Amino acid sequence: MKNILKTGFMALTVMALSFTACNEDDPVTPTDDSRYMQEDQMGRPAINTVFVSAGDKDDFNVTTPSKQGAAFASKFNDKLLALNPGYSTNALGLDAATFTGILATDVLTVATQGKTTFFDGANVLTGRALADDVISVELLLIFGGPEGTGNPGLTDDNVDANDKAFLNTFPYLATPH
Amino acid sequence: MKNIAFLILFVLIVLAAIFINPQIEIAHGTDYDHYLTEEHLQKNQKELNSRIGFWEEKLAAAPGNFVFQKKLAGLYASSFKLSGDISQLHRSDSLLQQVNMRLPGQVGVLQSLAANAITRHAFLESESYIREAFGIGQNKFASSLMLADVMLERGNLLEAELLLKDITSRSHFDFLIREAKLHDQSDELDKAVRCMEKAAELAKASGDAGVINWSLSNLADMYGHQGKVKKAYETYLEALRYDPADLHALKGIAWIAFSKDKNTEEARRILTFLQSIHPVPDYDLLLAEIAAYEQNAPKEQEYQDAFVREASRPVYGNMYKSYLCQLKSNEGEVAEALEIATQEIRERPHPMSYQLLAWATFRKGDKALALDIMEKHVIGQTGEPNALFHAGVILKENGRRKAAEAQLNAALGASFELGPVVAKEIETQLRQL
Repeated sequence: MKNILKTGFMALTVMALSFTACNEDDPVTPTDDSRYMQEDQMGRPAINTVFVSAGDKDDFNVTTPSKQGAAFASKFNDKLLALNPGYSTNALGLDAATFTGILATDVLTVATQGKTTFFDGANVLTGRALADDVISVELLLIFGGPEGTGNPGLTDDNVDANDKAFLNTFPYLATPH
Repeated sequence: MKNIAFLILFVLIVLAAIFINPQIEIAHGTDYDHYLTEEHLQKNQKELNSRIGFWEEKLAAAPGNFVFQKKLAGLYASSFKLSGDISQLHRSDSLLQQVNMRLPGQVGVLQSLAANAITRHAFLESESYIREAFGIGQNKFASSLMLADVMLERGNLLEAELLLKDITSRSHFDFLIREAKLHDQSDELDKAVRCMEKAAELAKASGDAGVINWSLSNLADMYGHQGKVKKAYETYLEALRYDPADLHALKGIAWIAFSKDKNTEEARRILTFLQSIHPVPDYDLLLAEIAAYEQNAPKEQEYQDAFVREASRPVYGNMYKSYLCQLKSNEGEVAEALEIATQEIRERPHPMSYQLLAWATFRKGDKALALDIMEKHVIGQTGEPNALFHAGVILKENGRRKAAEAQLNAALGASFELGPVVAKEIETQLRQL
């Protein structure tokens, strides 16, 4: 009994000591939940890269998507108007505030039924297939105006396909190249 | 009665162990001979070269592509660490400069430029890059750690401590190794070792052989600073198991063979091997020290000249300046030594730079000024053994017997780190008090 008590007391002492840096009595192996930190997140390709300024990156990367809209929509709006001062609406009929409100919640929406595509002229954001020309679609929505015909030099990344064919079976990606 | 006989026997064995032990050599070739081959280094280099070739080919097809330039810059910096070929560090830098000129303000590029500048011991330059990255804000955790690195090098312990306090994360490897460095520089070696031990455990949990090796190799250095030479040796061997091409660990073992075992032949065997596969000036300096211990003055001079010749080449920038400064002081080339020390202080206003200035000043003959520099900038501000030794000598020559004794005794406590030549000199100085 005496031994048990002693052990119990020592455990308490150890806990108290472990608040100081690199103490000898600190458990050396950290607990699992403290070992990882979120460093990055991305929903729609390149949106975080383009719309979040360098000074906001760290914050954006650890903000849960449900809170991104409130925190970053107005900054996205400023960025959009800085990139394209003549922006009125885009091919989806969205004005700047509505468009950036959608973009600021950086998630990739997926329709559980129907065709999976980033944009194919008929379906919008029902997912993203590997061969989708996502950057050109985004450029078109940012620079192309209501008809998609504005700023023709800026609405296409001029990369029309992957430089190696995708596979038809898992893992679907092209072999390393 | 029988019990008492056993007890006496036991005590005798313990006593024998205590008295005989120091004579036993620690470094044994059988433990590490299999690492003394170029094969491991070549294997790592070959793998790196194939990756460099891959990206060089891409860059040749798309000159000026900054993605390829950044990839190559990272690979060339790693390759320099492996090969010691300084031109690869310059190639890495020039690629990064090209990217930074065309697309300024990329945090990753600024951090890489800062890291390369630290390797080149261009600390002011490094500070300006990393402050720019820090100001932009992206990846602030890494920028804070690197700025703390530069502050530690520049002797600004307070800012380093504040930076680290802001991002305290004791389950993060990168944080822990900085905390270890901060403790080390604050003369809290035991705490530093505990941080590094935790970092090594974290590294092991990650399973990344490169990181495990790095942390063990550095931990072994720290055990050496503590005077725990056997533990240092075992830890170098453990580090080598994770990376058989760890030349730093082999160099550490050579130092043990020399400084602890006084087995100059074995130390020279390891160093000569290292020198044959890794063309950096460092080994000549150690070989000169071994020759000095053997009282082979011509050999000592030969190695020392070779070191000075190579290390003074402009391609090395500031990398060997502190060694050159001390050598020149001891050789009586005080004007040059003073100039280097002054430059070093500009680059790195650290007590270790001021002790170089004080030593050069002392060798010039101005012992009062030397003491003044020591008292203002060194004594009580660093526990580095070399600074303690030089402070002790300068105090002694100024008639400050008691203070000199304290510094010299503290230095003597690190005789493994300082090596037998300096240890003997300290003993002589103490006798003269």
